[in-house]
Amino acid sequence: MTENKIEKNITDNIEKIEKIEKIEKIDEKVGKAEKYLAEGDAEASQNDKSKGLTDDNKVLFIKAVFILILALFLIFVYSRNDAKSVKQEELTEALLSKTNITDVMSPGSNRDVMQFFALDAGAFEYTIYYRNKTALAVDELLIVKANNTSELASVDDAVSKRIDSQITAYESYGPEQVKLLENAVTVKKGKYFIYCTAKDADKYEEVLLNVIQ
Amino acid sequence: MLFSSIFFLFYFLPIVVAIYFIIPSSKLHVRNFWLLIVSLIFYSWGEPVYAFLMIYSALFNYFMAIQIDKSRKLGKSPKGNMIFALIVNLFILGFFKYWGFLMDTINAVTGLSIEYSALPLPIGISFYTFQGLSYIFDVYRDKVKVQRNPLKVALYLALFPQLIAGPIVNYKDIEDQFDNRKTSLSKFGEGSFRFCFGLAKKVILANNLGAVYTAICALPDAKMSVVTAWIGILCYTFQIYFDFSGYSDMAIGLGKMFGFEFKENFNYPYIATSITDFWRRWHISLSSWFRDYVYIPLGGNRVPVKRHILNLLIVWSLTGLWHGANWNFVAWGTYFGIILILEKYVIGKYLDKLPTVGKHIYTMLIVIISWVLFSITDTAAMFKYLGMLFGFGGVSFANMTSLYYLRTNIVMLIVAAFTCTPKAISEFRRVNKLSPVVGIAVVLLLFFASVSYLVFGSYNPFLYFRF
Repeated sequence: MTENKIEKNITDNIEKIEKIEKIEKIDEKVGKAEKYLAEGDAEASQNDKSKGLTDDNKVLFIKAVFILILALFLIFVYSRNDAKSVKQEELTEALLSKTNITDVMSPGSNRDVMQFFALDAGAFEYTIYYRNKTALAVDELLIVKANNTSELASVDDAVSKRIDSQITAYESYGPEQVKLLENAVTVKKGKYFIYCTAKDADKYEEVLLNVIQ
Repeated sequence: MLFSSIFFLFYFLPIVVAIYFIIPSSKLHVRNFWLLIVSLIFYSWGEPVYAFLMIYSALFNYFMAIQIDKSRKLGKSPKGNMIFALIVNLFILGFFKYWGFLMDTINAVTGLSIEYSALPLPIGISFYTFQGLSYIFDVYRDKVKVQRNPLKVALYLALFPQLIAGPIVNYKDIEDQFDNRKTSLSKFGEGSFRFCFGLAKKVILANNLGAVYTAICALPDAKMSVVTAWIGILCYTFQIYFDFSGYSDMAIGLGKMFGFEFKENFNYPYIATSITDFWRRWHISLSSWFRDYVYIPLGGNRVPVKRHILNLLIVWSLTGLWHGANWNFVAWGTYFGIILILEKYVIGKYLDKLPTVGKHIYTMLIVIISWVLFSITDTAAMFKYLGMLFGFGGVSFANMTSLYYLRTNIVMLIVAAFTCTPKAISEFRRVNKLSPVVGIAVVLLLFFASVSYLVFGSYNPFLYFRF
């Protein structure tokens, strides 16, 4: 009886020890799991944070791209429109050497600029004016270098008026002249205003732009 | 491309209309896409490079509106995104429109001569920038739903009828029309009539009146007189109204032809009985824009008197500056600001007691003088012209030149004055109601007369294109 009791106690104790060991193992596993979960949470949280930052970064990046594109576009437009500052003599020299301007036009005076365009040549840095040699021709070329670009608006208006009045004057009997006037070249570049009515107006424009660009 | 050009009237518009109506009305998104394509072609016609700026502006505002909306939904403040969008939009406008003005002012004030290149102004930039900003502000204030389709934002900014000279259309007014608008024969006819009236206003009246003003401005001092100066500025007064309201009529008419409804931009401003009334009738879309997005955020009139006066001066200086990069425009805007302040706080009660005729005379006198400030950018020439109006500078009261201009233009001035009143259009409506055939004949007559002027006349762009 006593032996049986002792044996039973031993068996119970062994079972208890086994249970404790199991519990310890479970605790260990739970601990591990908790640790794992905690690490996972932290990692996930870290991931979430970095995802959030990535979104913000993406937006920031797109904004930067927008600014960059705008800056590049403005640089392109600005450089396209910019003009070098050249002396009056350089432009005259280019006209004389690279075009046949003297065959069809002769140099006009500041007084002519006032008479035909109502512009005071002395108010600008300089003006260059050539006009037709024959009475019925409408060829003319005017280059104005303004002191500042705001002056170009009045030059533009004056040239428009000149073209209009010439068209009115020639419309009843000079269809060829009217055609030339309708295809007149007017270009604003930096502080320069170029106006040309001529058969080869494009050629004059090209030569002049090559000098100032 | 100009509405008042043979190419637009006889090639561009018929092709656009034909293809638009070939596309079934159930495929509104295809019709929208077609309108976007032709609007970009229309815009690119003169200066293709600036079409890029238009597309950029559309994409930028589309993106920023989404960011503003997203910030709000995430519980963050959308203010940062709104301010960023505002700065970029104003920078673009400022760079193209005010860079030269700023540099000239710096050079003039400091005596320096800093070299710079002022860029050609992209046509309509002031109009589409303000439209873009109205969209951004309305999304920021949660007044409209953010648009998820970039093509619709692009169409909103680029829609060719109102693209280059307004009216400034607010996004909230047109939002639903992208997905729900109807075209019909009667609406198309109504739009065509409106377009033809606008064309006639521009080509027959504005251009001819403008030619008189230009001729008078070019007169030597010896030929000027008080009467000639008044004839000149009266012609300009009518020219600017018919030029701009004519463009608005064409824009509203074209919009109607494609099923859109734009708000009115003019309501017979020259019958106003005060300057306050005048500005409720002149360029309504611009004054509404400044009221909604500048004046009210500044506190409007619900602030102490001093602050209210400051608010009015800020708003009206900006209104002036919007019209052009020159001090004369700032002076023009401020001039109206001061008159409005005076009407509000000083002379309003006396004005109310005047007979209606007196109110009209007062208003027109203020308005006509304002057009001197507006039309002459050179300060010395502006004061000289103002002086001539009141007999300063030794000019005679009248001479042979004034009699010549009076005799040759009196009929046109009377027609112009009559057309400025609601009477002209109400007479047309009465005739059209009695006999639609006569109504159609009148419109056709105006159209062919306008086309004749276009064929035989010289190039005349709209005055408001420069803004």
